[in-house]
Amino acid sequence: MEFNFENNTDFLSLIKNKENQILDRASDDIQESEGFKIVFAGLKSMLKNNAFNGSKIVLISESEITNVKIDEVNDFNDFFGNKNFAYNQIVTVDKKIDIISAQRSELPKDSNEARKCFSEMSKKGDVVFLLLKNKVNYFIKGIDKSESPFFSLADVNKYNEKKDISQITEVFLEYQESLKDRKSYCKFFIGLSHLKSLHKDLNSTDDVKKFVIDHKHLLRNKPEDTFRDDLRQFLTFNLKVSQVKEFLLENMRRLDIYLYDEYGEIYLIEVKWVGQSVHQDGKQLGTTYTKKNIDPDAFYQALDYLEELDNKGENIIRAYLVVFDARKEDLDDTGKDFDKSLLNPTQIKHYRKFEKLNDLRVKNFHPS
Amino acid sequence: MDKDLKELYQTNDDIVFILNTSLKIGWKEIKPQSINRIIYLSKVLYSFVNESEPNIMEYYHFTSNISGPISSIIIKSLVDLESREFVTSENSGIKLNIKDDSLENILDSSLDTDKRERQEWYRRIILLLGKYGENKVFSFTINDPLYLENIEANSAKEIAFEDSENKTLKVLKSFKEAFEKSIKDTSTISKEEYLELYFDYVFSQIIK
Repeated sequence: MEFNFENNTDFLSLIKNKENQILDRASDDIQESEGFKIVFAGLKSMLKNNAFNGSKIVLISESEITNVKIDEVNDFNDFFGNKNFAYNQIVTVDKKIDIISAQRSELPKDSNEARKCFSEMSKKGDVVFLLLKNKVNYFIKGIDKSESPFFSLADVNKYNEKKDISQITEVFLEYQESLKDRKSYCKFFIGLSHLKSLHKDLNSTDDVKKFVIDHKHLLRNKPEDTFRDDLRQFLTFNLKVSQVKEFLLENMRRLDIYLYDEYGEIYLIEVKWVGQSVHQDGKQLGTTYTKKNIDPDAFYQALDYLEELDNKGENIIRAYLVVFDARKEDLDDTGKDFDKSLLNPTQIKHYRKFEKLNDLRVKNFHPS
Repeated sequence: MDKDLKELYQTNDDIVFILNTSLKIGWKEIKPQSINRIIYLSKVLYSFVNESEPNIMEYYHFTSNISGPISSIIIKSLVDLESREFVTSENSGIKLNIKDDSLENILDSSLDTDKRERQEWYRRIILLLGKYGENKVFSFTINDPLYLENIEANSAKEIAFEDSENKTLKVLKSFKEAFEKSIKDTSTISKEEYLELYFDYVFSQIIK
């Protein structure tokens, strides 16, 4: 977030470019009226609360809309349930949002034509609201006012294409697929030239080709950072979440990723890996993590985090354990044999909010 | 009346008003966190529009929590309202459980100017938020500069609204100054319009 606005040249020029739109909006009595804001917010909530995938026009006269009062207006959800709203494409309402007329009429299919048609409609003394799926666009006195000075419809659509947090498992499946792509997986493993120099450094008696094949699974030093950052980036692009970042607990233990959904509810992701990495000097083999580091160690660690946050009164919806599997051999999932019966009562209390996702297999098919 | 009790009743009135106003714009139930966030935003933004006046929501004290700012009096009030069966708590959120005369009595502010002023301000904030929907209230809150400053400092202390260094006020002033620098005549842009433009700006940052 940018906080120093008055010295930010990009922001200043953005305002300059939008000057007419900004001044137009600020001096528009209809758009600035409380009545308009009530109708706009009500229609928007109505579309969100009810399954609506079509398009409809709602007309309200300029004089009525500025007289809409929050204490007098009807429930917008009842308006949605009204048969006249359901069966017709164009409805006219009064200041209480009672339907005063309704018309069955095919709305223009072409966007340019529709824009022209609704602009014309709004020249006759009515404010025209176009309900289009979950969007509310509007036209006042022949002008399309639907676009805010600061965001475009394309941006909104892009945001809407992202998946809901409840579809996180699906997003992980997509991520697993993406890891088969050379560009995706090569960043985790040491490169071909490094493998060849390692062959010398380890004084291997093997043929270089054989050594490369036998050691291509070697991860770069400290791969946990790369795994975590790569996953975090993927989730940011594919999930409707507000923040994806690290969080330090009081004892300085670090939660790898925590996500806020649209309502601010929290989901944690603990990232682990199994396989072998190269030493930080690059000349010898480094750390090896095996199934035991996951089952039970990582399970218990994630449950500890849940307990600690629960004690702090945080409402954690789910904690996921994600394991990148870069082992040389194709082995069973690291969580396959986890024995729940060994959990103590405190761990069981938190286990219901815990989920071990299927291992994310990463293979260095073609070292580069 | 005991000060704590008076503040609890004021909070009860505020929450019933917020739930009723939100219902009017189609928010059928509101999550408890959203109530905390709406009142937090109302308090923090009040001083921008009413710079020289004391904050009408001074009895709300917030601390930072990773799910947003939390005020203990709001939590107490929700328990009290539920025990009186004025609201019901469901999985999807808090729902208003009273109507007609009982509701009118609670909302009545004809003899209480402070209450009326608060209601007026909550209505403006809810209508501002209504443009984006309840699910965006959280995004606004966690992008609030004062809250961000507190959470980044990992501070368990109460959020200081009255501080002359209040980060949100500084940011909003800087935002307003940027408009004054770029546009020759800003006399038609009210402080509330600046708030609306600021919300638009925050929203565009979130979705990009």
